[in-house]
Amino acid sequence: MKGRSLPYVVGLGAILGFLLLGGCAKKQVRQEAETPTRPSSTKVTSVKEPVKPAQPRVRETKPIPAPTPTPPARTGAAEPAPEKPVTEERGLAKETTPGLQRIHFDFDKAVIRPDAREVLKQNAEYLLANPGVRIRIEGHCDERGTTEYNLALGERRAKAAYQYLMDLGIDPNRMTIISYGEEMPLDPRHNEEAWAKNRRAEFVEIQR
Amino acid sequence: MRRWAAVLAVIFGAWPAGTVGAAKVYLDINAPALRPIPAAVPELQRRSGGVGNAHRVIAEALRWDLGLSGLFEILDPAAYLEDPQRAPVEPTPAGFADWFAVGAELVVKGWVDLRDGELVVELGAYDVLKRSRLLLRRYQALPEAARAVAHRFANVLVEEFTGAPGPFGTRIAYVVQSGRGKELALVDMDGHGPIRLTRAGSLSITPSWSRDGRYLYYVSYLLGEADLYLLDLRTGRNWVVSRRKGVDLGGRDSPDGSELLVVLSERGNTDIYRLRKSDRSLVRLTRDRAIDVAPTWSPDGKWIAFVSDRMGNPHIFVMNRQGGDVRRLTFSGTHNGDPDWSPRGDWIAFTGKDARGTFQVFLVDPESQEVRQLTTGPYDTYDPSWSPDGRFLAVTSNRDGSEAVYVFRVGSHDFRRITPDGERASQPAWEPARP
Repeated sequence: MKGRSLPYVVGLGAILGFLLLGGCAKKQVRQEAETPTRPSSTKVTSVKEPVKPAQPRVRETKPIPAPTPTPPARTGAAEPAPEKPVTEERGLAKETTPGLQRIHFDFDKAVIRPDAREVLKQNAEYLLANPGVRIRIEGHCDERGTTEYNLALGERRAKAAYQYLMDLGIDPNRMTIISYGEEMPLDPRHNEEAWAKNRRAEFVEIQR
Repeated sequence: MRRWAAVLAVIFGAWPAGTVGAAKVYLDINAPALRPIPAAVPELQRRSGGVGNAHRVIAEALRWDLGLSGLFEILDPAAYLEDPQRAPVEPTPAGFADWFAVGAELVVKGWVDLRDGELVVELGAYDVLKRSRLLLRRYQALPEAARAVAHRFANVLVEEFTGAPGPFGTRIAYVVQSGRGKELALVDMDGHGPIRLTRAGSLSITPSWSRDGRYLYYVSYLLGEADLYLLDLRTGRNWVVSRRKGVDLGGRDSPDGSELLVVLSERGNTDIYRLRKSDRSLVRLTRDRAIDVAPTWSPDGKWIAFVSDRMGNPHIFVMNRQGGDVRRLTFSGTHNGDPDWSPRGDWIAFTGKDARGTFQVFLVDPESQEVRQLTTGPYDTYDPSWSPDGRFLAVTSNRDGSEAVYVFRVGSHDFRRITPDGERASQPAWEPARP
């Protein structure tokens, strides 16, 4: 039975295909007429596309320093960014200052863990004993998340530490916060151990 | 009609004669059943010694582009029978027989000459089964723009088959690790000509293009914390767009170029705002205590997809341009983010954590909420960014060990690394279509 029915199926397919292709073939005629079909020896003098050089590229243009910078129109920009020669790192994360200790967080959480509470109490004691010290709290994430979300999560972590220190009596005017998201890991490896280290808040003494 | 063409090809097992030239029967290159057309792309005929390597460079660029398109399967040049420097450029009957013999159904051939210091290039596409010419184009370009000629022809050929030009010759901005910091970089979508755009010695991240392709919005810690900047690609000059208390993120240009979506945390936690460029006024779009980040415009400018953890885990949501009509789009997974709305409007690409804990690229249909997983594997693939034609994605992946940027056609598993070896690259942003 199976052997018999097969040719019919193939035959039907061929007829169906022929009908469908026939339908398509009609449409091709117009296109073929548009396509140049002259033999190769004839020089092509008219082509559809105008002869012009390829689009200029950004990297072929040299930066043009403008003598009096004015904000570019309709970009939302306000003022020129400072242009200093690069001699050092700018705005990068720092590690916790001696005398203070960093704290760690659970994955995708900004809750202060019990172990971190103890650390924050010690940090608060140090800050109370050294009233001249001002700190920046840096919130960080591991790489297991999306970029912009982690920038927000890092800020939430820094803020949680800030709030906790404030509750322990530290003057909020002595503290600022910043988030580095997942951009500045402490441990560059890609494993659970590294991720646990990287989910952290650093406490960095800042100079006035 | 598109689907029929692909289905027919599968039913008959061979490309139906004539369909190669059936330019009006458009093919959907993202259809899973599409059978690529076997195509040969020999090196061009060199008409003067002054063209240098251009005859090879153009052929190689064409092979890369046409192979990636999914329409064509490029046959190994080592198997070609004719000598491109001796055989006539326009195939003779004997020439067509040779191309048929190597299994080609389409052949792209041409010549290159040097006239008045410029390359003159003629390229043709030929239907081997019908023994006829499909397309003929001539270009003139500076010698260093030889690849750009190939990309333009590839776009024309793809348009002939699909009704829309390919993305070839466009550029992708990305982020590269530099010491402890990160800098912005730019590369052609085929991996050629990578350059550094910033040398600030800071963290410069999340590039996003202006609609006219002239500027990149990005976040940098140049002045101490995460602020939003603008880089003018023509002049190399940087501008401050938003520098408020807390983070200033985003910088997603509206389809008409008059507004910018920004993410600010000055009021305590991250919320999404619409910044009108003309008077720099802000409209707040989200007002909850949750994280709201990563906004992306629908191509008609009426909707905004974004990430929020207002229901617990981060998921993709959509709202109208006033912040109303909020709908949740993703319901599975524990971490979804980085949405990018396709320029064709049909899908939103995003990064999601799969059941195995790796990050993969998914699509969600903003209407039906249907989700499709595009990537799999024991490594992470994330940060999707659509090509200007909405048929390809640039992504970050650590599939080869360390982070690099790859491009692939949606529906294929042909991932091509486009950032240099030894460079730790991420956060690709594909140049938009020019208005």
